[in-house]
Amino acid sequence: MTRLNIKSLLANVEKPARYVGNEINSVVKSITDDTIRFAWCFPDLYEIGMSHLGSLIMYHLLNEQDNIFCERCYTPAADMEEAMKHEGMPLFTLETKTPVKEFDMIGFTLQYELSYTNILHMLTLANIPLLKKDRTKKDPLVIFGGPCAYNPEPLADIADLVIIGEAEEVMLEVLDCYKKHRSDKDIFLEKAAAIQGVYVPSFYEFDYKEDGCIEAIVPINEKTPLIIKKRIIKNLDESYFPEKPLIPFLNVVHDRATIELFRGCIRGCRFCQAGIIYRPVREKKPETLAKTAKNIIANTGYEELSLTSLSTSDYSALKVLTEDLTNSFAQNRVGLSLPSLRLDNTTMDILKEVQKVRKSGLTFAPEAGTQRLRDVINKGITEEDLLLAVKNAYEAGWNQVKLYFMIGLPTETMVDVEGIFDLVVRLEHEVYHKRDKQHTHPLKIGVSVSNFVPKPFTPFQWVPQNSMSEFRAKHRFLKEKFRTKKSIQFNYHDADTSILEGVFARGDRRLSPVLLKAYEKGCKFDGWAEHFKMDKWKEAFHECGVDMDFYTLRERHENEVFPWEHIDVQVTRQFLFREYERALLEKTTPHCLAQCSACGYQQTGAGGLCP
Amino acid sequence: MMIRAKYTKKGDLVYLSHLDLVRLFERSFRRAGVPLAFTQGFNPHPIISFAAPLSVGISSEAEYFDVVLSELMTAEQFIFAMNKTLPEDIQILQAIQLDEKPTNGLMQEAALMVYSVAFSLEHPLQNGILTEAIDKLTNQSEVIIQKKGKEGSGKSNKRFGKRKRMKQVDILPYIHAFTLTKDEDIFVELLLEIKVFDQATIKPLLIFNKWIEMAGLSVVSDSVFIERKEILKVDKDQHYISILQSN
Repeated sequence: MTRLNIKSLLANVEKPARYVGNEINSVVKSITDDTIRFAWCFPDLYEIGMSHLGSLIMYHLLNEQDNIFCERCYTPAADMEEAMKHEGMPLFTLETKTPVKEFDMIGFTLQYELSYTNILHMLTLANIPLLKKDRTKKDPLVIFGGPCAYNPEPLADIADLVIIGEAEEVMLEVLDCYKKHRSDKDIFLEKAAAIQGVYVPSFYEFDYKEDGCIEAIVPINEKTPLIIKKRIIKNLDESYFPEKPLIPFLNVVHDRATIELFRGCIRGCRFCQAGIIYRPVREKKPETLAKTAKNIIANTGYEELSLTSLSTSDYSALKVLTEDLTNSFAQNRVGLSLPSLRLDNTTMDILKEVQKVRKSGLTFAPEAGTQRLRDVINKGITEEDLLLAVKNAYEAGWNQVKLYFMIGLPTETMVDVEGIFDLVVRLEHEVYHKRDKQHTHPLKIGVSVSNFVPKPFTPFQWVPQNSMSEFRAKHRFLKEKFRTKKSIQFNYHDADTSILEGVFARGDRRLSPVLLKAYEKGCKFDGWAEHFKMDKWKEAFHECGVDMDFYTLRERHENEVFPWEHIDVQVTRQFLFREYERALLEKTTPHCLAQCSACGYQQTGAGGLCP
Repeated sequence: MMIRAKYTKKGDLVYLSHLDLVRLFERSFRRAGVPLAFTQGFNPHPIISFAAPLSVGISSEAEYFDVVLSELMTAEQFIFAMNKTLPEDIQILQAIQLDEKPTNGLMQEAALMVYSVAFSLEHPLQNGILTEAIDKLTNQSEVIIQKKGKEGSGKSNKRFGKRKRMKQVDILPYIHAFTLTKDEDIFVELLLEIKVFDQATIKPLLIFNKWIEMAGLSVVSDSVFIERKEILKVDKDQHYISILQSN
């Protein structure tokens, strides 16, 4: 076993603490012949990777097991990469500084499509062949998981194995299987493919039609399952959650303790992939959460605890839980943060209690500028709701409000785009200009506009994305409008990256060579505006003979075979199409608690899980 | 009440920035169950002050902080509770209780920084050459180096923020002692004592680099290891004394 001495690299790089490991609550185990060594690779900088809750859970879960040692690795920044290359040093893990190539398995979490080139980059720095077919028995197995893994096809040529669904249980089964078949990779993959939630891309072949669409997805032998069904944790309340989590030394993006209130979301916003793939809603008990929270604070000393979920105000025991935690933490000045809120009156009252002191900013996500378009996307929020929420927030002492919108949503016209401006202006007028004299503090409104990217497993998986010129025209229009309102800070997301994201989100395995080509041309850290090179990407597509527009601009036929057709998220395609049709009719669908819309979950035999 | 503590910063933890270190201590206090006092106001935070921020990459055997507690705790209890939860490269060596806040903050008290500088030469040198080189530097009437000014001393610019202007400084008034403590084959160690005037001082690496440049020494790159050995304050007779000693 090799342990690299990285001292000489650290003298001249920015933030060397990114690479030294040894953080409080990090795990170092002794290694024997029986130890399965797993390298948890996050394809972005340390500060991003250390903010990811899923990685934290998996790191500690794997390390709780005998005979498994999970170590971490992040993408080195450019200065470190150069220093490593200069000294001929390969990619190494933080815990023991072992070259990643010496591990049994390396796992990448796919959090966003624009991190794919960083996966190739890390494999390259590790001296591991990029393509599965080029790797030998000596190379580690390359495993993918995470939200983007629900359509892993663009990475099909790279992956050995993909985890579909929640990894907590299935990873342990996969590692168990590996323990038995460690000596033969092929047998291991064959056996692992039989585990629910495991997908081995090389066991499937794709047939294409003349028009480029998929004819069929064919398993290469009869032992391979036709459909890969996602894994979920049935009892979230009893599932593993680390109470002694790693504490980063550096100021990372989310530098606080986190507990997870529930998984899934009752809302059913039609653009939202998380709202479908994490179904059904599973809450944890408030007593469980309170106990976990108190232990985490005692074991970490964090000054802030975040209560996360996809829609925190929908947690049924939010009031009880926040009261309990606020009381226990008051003396030690541990603050609570509640992200992803819908600001109804009950939530506002809780928020006022929780944030008695620090009232910095609140974020609302109306997503669309007109009621018509909000109905199309099933964002059950009215202009009056929003007005009341902003007014309440301002009067309770908040002085910064951020508003999130999307452009390029299905059926959008310029009336809807202009609606964003009109809505914001009206909010400022009604709340701030017409305020009572007793309120003397300012109100800063920030508007952030992102570009809609249609995602697999959503009712909008059939729709075309806006073209570059459509996005740009809308940006110009809004920029011009907001230029006249100096009091409002207007931001928008670059169109280039949204289009590339759109290609990979609904892409198939014909994109693997494009990915390799783009990386060869120097593309990496694509999610970072300063590193993104659209010209290189266009060259790569062109040279591989792959048309970006095929993936983004095409309205898909109702019965088109999607690249993710063999992946089953246990929500039916019929439900998604029904929702798509209702969207076009501007009809809203009630949330799961109000009425079951028969998304398919109840019929899969997993019944009783839904709220 | 207040605790004044002396601690180490070594090993991998030399790569923590000062802000990382402050955060680490704040969280360690909470883990250790140390009863912290907090500032009043909208954004309460613990009341901690540090003697002198250490440059990233420099090791230390003697760092200091003051922390205000809301309840009584003995120095022994404090050391025990903290060392149980601190990483092994940061450990409290000594602590004393201070009944009240001294008039000067800890930052103002630091008057002399004691460093050791260890390095390897490319080739062994004849005896006496290094001592001569030291004398050559200290016997000058002035030794000017370029140094980054304090933040905000330069023109502020909307797009690029505050720029640090380079300024010229004579290092000699800052040097209290510069001696050779080891000279064996290629392995050399220096003792460097640097004064602090009005919270301004010179980093040991700047003095070291100027010295090897003036003396034309070939030093193995990456071999330089600097460690802070002590921070001292002055008593009323202008003698340097321990920061833990009462005035």
